[in-house]
Amino acid sequence: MYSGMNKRGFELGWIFLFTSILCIMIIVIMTLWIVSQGSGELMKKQILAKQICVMITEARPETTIMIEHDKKTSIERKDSGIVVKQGSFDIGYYYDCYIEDNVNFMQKDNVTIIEIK
Amino acid sequence: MNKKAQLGHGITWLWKFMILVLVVGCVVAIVASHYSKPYDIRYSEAETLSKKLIECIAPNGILTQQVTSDMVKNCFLINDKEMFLNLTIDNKQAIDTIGLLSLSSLCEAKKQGTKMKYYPACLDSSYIVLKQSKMEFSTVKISIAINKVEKNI
Repeated sequence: MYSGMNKRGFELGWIFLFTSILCIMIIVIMTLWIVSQGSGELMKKQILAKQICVMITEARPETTIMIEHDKKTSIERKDSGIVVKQGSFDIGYYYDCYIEDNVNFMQKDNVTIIEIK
Repeated sequence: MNKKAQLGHGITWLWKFMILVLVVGCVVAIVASHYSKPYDIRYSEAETLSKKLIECIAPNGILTQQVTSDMVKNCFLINDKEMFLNLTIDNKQAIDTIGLLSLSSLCEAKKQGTKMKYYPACLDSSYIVLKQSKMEFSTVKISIAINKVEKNI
């Protein structure tokens, strides 16, 4: 099929293409990651999880806490701790807290409602 | 290509790839270390738990019954591996200590000025409550130490 082409030139072309794609992919992934880190996403998740933990611990029974956040953020309960996620692919930030069975978490659009019974 | 040239070509590729991995690794390590500094919230946690405990054992500042370990354990969820709790009433041990005793020693060392890289958050708080049975004031001292170094230091 390639008998008419210069075989060496063809090989070099593929190598160049492969190298370019690899480098571009690495640069794009790295840039996106640095931008997300630089915007303080990880810090925001950490602060949110820890502050909610203190709020819940301090709250008296029959308290409802409503937290407004952006739509891709989710605040969930995991065992006795709190997980804050940014998007569905994020594993989230977990902070071990003192949450007991009397605490319920609900999410409606961009609002998380925490009920302490 | 002859075999030597192929080998040389492979080594050059490997070298380029190693440099790329090194550069990316360094950038990732620097950015991660800069932006993932933990935020120490353990002192706020300890203060909150201390207030919660005094409210639990002496509602409205009135001590109605004798404090027991079970009573304290029912006040909030206690993680024995990350926490130490001690409670005295009028300088007398009210309950057996709860949690890791080693945290208490670390708190003592910290008070004496020992420098540590990973240290617990220690809080000693004192409250004056009314003992309903004798109608006299008592001093309740609560010592709380929280470890959780991985997420806070």
